[in-house]
Amino acid sequence: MFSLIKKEIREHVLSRKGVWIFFAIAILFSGLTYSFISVKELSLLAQVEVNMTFMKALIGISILVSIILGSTMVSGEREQGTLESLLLTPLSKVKIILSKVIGILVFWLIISIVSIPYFYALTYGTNMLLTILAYLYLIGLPLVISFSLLSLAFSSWISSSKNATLLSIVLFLVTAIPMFLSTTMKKSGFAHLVDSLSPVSSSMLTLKDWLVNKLSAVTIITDSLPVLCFLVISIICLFYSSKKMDFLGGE
Amino acid sequence: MLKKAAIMIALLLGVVATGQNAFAKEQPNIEVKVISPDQVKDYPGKEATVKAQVINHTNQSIKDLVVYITMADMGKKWTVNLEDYSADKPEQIKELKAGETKEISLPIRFVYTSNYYLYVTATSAHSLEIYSSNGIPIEIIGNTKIDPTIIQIVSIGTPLLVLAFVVMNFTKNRRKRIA
Amino acid sequence: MIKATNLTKQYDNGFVAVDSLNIQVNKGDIYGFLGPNGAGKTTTIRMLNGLIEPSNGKVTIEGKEVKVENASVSKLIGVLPESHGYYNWMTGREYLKLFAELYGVEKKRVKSRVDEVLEWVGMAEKANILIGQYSRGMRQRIGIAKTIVHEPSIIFLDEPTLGLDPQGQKDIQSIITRLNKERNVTVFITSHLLKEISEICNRVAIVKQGKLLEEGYLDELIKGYRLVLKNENPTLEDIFFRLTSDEVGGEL
Repeated sequence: MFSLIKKEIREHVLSRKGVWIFFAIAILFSGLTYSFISVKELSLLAQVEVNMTFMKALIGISILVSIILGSTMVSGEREQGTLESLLLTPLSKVKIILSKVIGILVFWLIISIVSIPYFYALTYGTNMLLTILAYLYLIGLPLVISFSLLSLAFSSWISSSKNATLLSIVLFLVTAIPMFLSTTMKKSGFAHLVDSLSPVSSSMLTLKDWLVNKLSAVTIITDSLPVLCFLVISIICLFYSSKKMDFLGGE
Repeated sequence: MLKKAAIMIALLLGVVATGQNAFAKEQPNIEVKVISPDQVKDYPGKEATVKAQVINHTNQSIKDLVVYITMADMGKKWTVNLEDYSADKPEQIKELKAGETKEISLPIRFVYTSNYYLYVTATSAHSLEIYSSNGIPIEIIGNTKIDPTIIQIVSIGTPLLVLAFVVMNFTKNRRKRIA
Repeated sequence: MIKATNLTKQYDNGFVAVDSLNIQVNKGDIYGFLGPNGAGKTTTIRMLNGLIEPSNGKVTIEGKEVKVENASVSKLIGVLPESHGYYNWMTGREYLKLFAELYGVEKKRVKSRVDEVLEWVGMAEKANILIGQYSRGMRQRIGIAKTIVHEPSIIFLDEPTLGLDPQGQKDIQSIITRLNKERNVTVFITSHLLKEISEICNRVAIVKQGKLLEEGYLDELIKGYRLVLKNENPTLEDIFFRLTSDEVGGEL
């Protein structure tokens, strides 16, 4: 299985495509960070607010990149005809999928490492850095894993990687809708339902309660419950879909 | 004669003026007073709880009062979006009996750097009259802890480091291609 | 030895791809599995490999029952699927190393084993070039090298010469024959090229619409069909067309 993990890392993380994505993300982070000192509106923000904005951007980018990667991983192998050879090896389907999950995680870990200097600069003069990193790895990581697992599940279910990517992005957008809505809109109706169930919303609420409101650990854990539930649901979905992992028809 | 006339006019004007004064000072039906703070001067991110008193000066009870914070940005000459300041939730007073005084607390978090006037407003669902307190001055001083030099170093240095990684990877793959 | 008993595959939509197939491949055989398009050849191979579950019947390889995700059977067999894909970003050597490791070849033996199979398929000199730059024939050789890298006793080759030029076809044929003769590897092969099959196989099976029409040693089959075909020297091609053509198919 270690060899397969190595292969996934070489194919997706250390590939030309992978390293260019890291570079693009670094440029994006630089632009955003620089705007906190150069754009007047943003430079007036409280430092904690600056870090929250950066964290939101980081989580958004991480989820998007992971779902695009995840949704093409299995269906990509199917499309290029390599999945059958993998399934023929003594490795179980679950192990094959797990190697892919680890591949995505390594990809995300590098993104998170790239973000650390930016967080250092943005939290300079405060004691927020540790809290930020704790949030990133305790809440951000499960959120990214969940989305990756679901996109991998879609990728195993759906034979076309385009459709799998599309479905994953739609799922992300639905869960992220509350981020674009005003408080008033979120108070009732469908928006309220999505807001209270969405793991993305709850991760943002956790961030606010942890960083800004400095609420108790119990509140923070309660806030982050939907993220954990989402993780459990994603694991179950992936487990079932890995059984359905199939290849292209023969004759 | 002229002198008398002048005195008469002066007296009359005095009466009118006093009358106007008496009218202006007539107590409103509801009075809103900010008890604390009397001013704020701090960095962005400062959290405060605005305490205000709502007094019913009439001899009838007033129902369904909504009391909320309003803020004007005197630096930019704007009103503010209170949602950004986590101050968009009003306090509700179901009933304020005749002559009763109730104290309410409204939380706010000052996010942007600027000078503001903050005041508390009360209104009832059964009347179109709006009652506001006097303003208190709020001065949010710029956030100076972020060091622009560090930001510049990180913003330029990190992509360069990643680029070095890209180039390294590219040369490694190229070697393989021409092997 | 491969033994399939009453092997059947019926899909959810009711389509029967393989119908009560009984075949036996003995040790050391080069077994040609023939049939027109849609005869159920690939489905049969997939059931024999444990890639898909049969609806009925069972398969045993070296006495072990083949089940989906059965690692002990996976190690006994090597498979080159039809329209087999490759990781174009890997070199031939890296690709073989990956599969040697995935099949559990001992760590210290991986390198020597990879070198050995590269020599076998005549790809040692091109081993460090990216697969993306290989010709179709070279890819197919690397595919065969992958199939044998873990030293299986049985290999399944699904249309191994598909799309190759005559020289490429010959090269692959010679690799298969050498494997069988020198390494005593049992080969189960499907191909559209009947001439190729008759040149390398000692036993054949002919299927149509999922049903087995004929099975046996090639020379015995040819003998048996002399009378039927009224031909002193019938070829495999003659027998195949006699069996699979729509007018008389399955009459025998």
